[in-house]
Amino acid sequence: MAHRRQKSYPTPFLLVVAVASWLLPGAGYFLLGEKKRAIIIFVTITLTLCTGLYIGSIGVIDFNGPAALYVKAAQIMNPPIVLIPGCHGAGRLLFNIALEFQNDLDSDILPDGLRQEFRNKGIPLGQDATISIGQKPNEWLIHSNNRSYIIKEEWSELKEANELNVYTAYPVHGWPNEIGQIYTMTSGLLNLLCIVNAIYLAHLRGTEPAGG
Amino acid sequence: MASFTAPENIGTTAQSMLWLLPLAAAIAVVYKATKVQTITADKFAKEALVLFGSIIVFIIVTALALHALAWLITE
Repeated sequence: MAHRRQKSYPTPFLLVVAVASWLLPGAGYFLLGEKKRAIIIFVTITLTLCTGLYIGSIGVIDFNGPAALYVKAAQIMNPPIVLIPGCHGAGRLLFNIALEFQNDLDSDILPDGLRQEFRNKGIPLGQDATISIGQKPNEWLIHSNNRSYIIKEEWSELKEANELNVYTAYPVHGWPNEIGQIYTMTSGLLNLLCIVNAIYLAHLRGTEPAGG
Repeated sequence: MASFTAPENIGTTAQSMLWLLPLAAAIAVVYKATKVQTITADKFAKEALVLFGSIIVFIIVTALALHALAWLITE
């Protein structure tokens, strides 16, 4: 298919277009003067991403989690701003608890002492709170009141001994997680398509006829 | 923001398949936005709608074929 060659841009500009497209969907087209295209792409990709995060929770984007590599690879093409809420809230150290709780945690028991520790930190656990084994060894998950907490056994340089640290986490599970992953992966891949297309457009400054 | 911190309650039901509609619409809109030469409201809407319809029809045909295959295997 023939392309109309109009104007070419220097290589650094192509890089700027690529980075701008990744940082903000449609920004690459905006730099090329394609404002309508930029607005349509920005609105659609942002809505798709937000829908995925709404359905599955912010936790669907977790690059340290157990999700498959292709899921993470697709999600990373989303604008990096999506990492801010995840990094801010998930994986934040809340407090330490005594190592003696480990036996109870291994037995899937939520002892009263541990509930008291949470209450002391202003996080009362509900009666429906559940505990489960985490994805990695010496890791446990507590779910309560639509919130999740990860307890990890970690080495403390200060104490020169192991300790149990409690971190925040966003709950993700089941079908909503899968739908959320599909949406966030699709928005990432659509953004990748737009990045490549914006670079291509900047390089050739030509487009294919409608319906291509 | 609270809704973004906990998953929605979506069961594995036939109705949950409807979540593919907005996804197909997003794919059609973004793809056509990268392809059409000049964007005018009516032309762009028509092109995106045709692609959206094509995706949905293809999914329905594929679903029916898989359903028929599953029926043949299990019956």
